[in-house]
Amino acid sequence: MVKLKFPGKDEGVAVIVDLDNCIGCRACQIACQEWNGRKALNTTFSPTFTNPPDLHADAWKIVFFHEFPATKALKFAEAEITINTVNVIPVPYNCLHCAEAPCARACPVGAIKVTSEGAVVIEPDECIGCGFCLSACPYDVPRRGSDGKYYKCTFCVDRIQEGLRPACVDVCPTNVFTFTSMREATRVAEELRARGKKVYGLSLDGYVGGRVRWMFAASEDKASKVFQAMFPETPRNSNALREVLEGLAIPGLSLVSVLTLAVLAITWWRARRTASKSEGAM
Amino acid sequence: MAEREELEVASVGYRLAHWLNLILFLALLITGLVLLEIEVFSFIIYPLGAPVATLLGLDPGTGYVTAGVQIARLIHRLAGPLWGFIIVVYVSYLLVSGKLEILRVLRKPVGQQLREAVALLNHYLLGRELPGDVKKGLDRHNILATYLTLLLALGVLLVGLSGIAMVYLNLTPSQHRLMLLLHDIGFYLTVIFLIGHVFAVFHPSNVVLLKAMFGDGKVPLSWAREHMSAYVERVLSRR
Repeated sequence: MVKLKFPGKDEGVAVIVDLDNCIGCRACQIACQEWNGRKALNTTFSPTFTNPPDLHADAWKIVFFHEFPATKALKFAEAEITINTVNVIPVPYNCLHCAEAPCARACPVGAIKVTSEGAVVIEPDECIGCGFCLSACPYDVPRRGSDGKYYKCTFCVDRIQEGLRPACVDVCPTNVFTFTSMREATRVAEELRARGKKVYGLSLDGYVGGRVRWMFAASEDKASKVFQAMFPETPRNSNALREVLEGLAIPGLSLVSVLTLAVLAITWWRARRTASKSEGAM
Repeated sequence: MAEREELEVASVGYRLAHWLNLILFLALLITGLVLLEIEVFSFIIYPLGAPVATLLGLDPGTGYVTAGVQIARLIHRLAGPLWGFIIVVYVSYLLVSGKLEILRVLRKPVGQQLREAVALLNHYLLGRELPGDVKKGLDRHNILATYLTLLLALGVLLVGLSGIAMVYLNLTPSQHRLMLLLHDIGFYLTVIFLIGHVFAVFHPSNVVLLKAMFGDGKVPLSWAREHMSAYVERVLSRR
């Protein structure tokens, strides 16, 4: 039988991504690609530095570069020069590993496993390529590969189970990532919040289980520019309605079916009784 | 003489279409349930997946489910378009030949339709006699059957269009999830139809029709006069 069990909210591991430390070097992106044996992708020119331009079956972690027009002033003794420029905010991004991953709930073969560490992992041998995981994901993370199967970040669960940190975490030269237990990550995130930083991922919609295991922290200014673009305040989509309908329809229609059969049985019993009464009267 | 005492209510074409509907609908229902909620319905696909997984040398722990669901999905994707095609062809034929009897009762005023519906429900559920005027006005299909058919039509339209979109169009994730939602809603509507249909055909009053549908398509004329008198009068007046 296919059964899905999520670790408790405070169990397992988590990562805090402090965007204020990120310099956009993309070492994490490359480390992810290398550790997971994903093939290199051709460079695609886009309006920003982001490359590949989006998550891909062979690129499970991408550093997105958000550009914002900015004005900078250069002060000299004689004068002040104002320059119109662009501010770039890099955001290392991958599957957020929801506490109760909707993709795992949606998978019709149970190919998406949730480990005791809380890693949400697509088992490629079991994936049938239906795409229900992508439909369910409020962050549009899983991507279809050339073999028709879906792929995404595994949280480097193979490394974690060997006592190592995820590959991207390990290579970061500026300590953007804090890999720790979920309990400790929650404490750190709350501490960052108390220090005036914005934190995404700590108190979210029930659709994702209330929180995600990859939490993002940033200064208020940075967060106001980036969070809105990348992280929905209410991470849910029409799949949530599907789940509600399913929860009502399966037991509801089963009950109605049983009641229908019961009423049918009564009508047959009544019809037979009426028939035998009329025979008796004759 | 014996021939005169029977009335054909289901032609060969009608019965054939019904058989095809029954087989394809059941195939879609069973495979769809597996895709809808594997945690509840995984037991269905073990008999399907086990032999194939064994043949392919897959891990029994997970291979049975993977192979079973993949086969179920394949059947679903083949049976769906075939069912849609048959329905389109058959409904087109009925429309062109003017034989779409099931919609005839909608010509009655809405108030009368509702009165008939209530009377029929009282009859089916509580065993009450039908009022004389309702009985006299009963056609080949009663108003409840017509309402159920309209529900089925809406359901089929939803599952059909969303299914085609998901299989044949290159949808964005948000479009795909909307289509999945519509597919589910369409499915629930068709299941409501199915429950109503099963209740109606297995009801002691209508079991004669069930026998006709899976037999020679004919019902005793006396039964027809009792249960579809307006239709009988119309047919006999044409002879």
